[in-house]
Amino acid sequence: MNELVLSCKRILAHAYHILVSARRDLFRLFDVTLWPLVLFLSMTLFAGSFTHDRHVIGIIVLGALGWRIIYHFQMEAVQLYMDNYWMGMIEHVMISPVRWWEFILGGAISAVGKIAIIAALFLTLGHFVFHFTVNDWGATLIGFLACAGCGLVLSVFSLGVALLKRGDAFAFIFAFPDAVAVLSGVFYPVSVFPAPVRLLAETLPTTHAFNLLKATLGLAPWQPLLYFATLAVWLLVAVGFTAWALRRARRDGKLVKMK
Amino acid sequence: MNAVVASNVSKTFQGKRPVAALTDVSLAIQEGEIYGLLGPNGAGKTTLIAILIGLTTPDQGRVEVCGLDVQRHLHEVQHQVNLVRGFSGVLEKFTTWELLSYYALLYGMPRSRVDEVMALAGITEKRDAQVSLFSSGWRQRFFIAKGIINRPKVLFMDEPTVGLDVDAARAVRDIIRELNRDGCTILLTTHYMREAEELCDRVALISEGRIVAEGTAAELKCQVKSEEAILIQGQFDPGFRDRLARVPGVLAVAQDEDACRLLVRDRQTMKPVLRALLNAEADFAGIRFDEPTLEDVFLMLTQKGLEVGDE
Repeated sequence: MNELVLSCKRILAHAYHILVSARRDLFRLFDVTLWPLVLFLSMTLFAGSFTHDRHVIGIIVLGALGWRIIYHFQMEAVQLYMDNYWMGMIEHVMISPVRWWEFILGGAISAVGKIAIIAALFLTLGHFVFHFTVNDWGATLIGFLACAGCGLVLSVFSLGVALLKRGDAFAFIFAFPDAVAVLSGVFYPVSVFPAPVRLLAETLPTTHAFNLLKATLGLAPWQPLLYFATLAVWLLVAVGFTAWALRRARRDGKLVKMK
Repeated sequence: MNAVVASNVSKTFQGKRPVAALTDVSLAIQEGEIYGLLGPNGAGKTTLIAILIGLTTPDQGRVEVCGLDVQRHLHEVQHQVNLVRGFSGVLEKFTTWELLSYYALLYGMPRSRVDEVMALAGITEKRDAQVSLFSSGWRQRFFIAKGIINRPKVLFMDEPTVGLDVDAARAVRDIIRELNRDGCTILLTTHYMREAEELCDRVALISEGRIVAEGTAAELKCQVKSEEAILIQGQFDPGFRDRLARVPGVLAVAQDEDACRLLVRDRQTMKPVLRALLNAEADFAGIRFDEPTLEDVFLMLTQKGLEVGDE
């Protein structure tokens, strides 16, 4: 069978694995229902008690959704790897012809499904409770895709950390997208930060992805080139790191759980 | 033709305290063979398998599987091998069919293969049951089904009967024979000597990361032909076993679950052994001469039993 077809099957295998896990696990179901709703409602209700300015509500709706997109695109593939590691099955996956980037793409398929649910929740609630409507669907979709791209880069990097640190990596992996989102000015301009932090924030593709979303509300300039430039650098670093991490994990026997 | 070749393989795991897992290990497994790798926990069996299937890399040496260099052609090798482990965990919430479907997709096999392997491993009736709730016998059958999902040319089986009751272990051994009859080359690690004698065409004895002997069970047992074994029914503490080891004519001592096995120079050694038992007022249920076994070969070559050490 053609290697491309086999690769597609492996990607689908990972997406299938995540789907089965999510269907049977209440905690994972909360990932697309309760936790995003808590974030969304606490932010919008707090802001709505002060103002009905559509920019404020808009930045919260789009920012919160962009944040969830980054989180899910980062988390799905790494969660899949960690599930197999914790359950003592990682060697059964890693002896198959699987390639590391197939984990990432399988996770991305699953993330698309989860984000569709969360987007429907946020945009419906935003519309009916706060009368928020998207200005420009095309530009907004580009902003969301930009966030997805950032999530994938973080996912590549996080998978590398999981390969090296195994169970110890999870706390870092869990906190990583949130820390990056906060640094990237999810609901505010990065100019609020002190100069060194601002400089760091400008090097993050997530900052420019959130700016693309803010631009649809007229709250930031539309600068896709800056986004692509920073994303390309981060992608190269993340791919290099994870390829190295896999070689290192293999050398150190970290792909197998010894008795 | 050889299905698996390892040449001068060495591996040390670095860390605060470096551990030399394998030292200069060489072996060759012919196509269609069941090859046993025998040794106690911590001997290096799992590390050797991990190297042969590409889960870890050797510091020195070279490994080939199905004629392909494992490090250079890992992806191609991965299509042709699979693994059954006797102490694997299992993902919660997945049914047999769901988990096997996942592996079928990973290897690019059609879903119909899932039904085939369930039938071969005798777990069709457990199709919709959660694998994590299986008894160890059923779980092992599941892993055998998973291990043959890609029709591997070489199947690595790491302690496939560990922890199973007598009936479940026998059922697993029957499946292993059937797979081998269908042409699958099998590398089997175990520390059950009788299992190795029963199943394997050839065996290698491994201790502290080195292969200390290799051959058919009969060839290996020839190495202790001139000696005898004495079996003492009962459990003895290490202090008393040391005293037994100092009895003139006793070559080695090993304690099994319910019996102590002494490798002795000749039949005359029975007398001083009995004297030592009686003098110490040791609590034993019986004593007799026994046929030499692979365990005696291991004992003679390493001065160790098979239940020592931890990995």
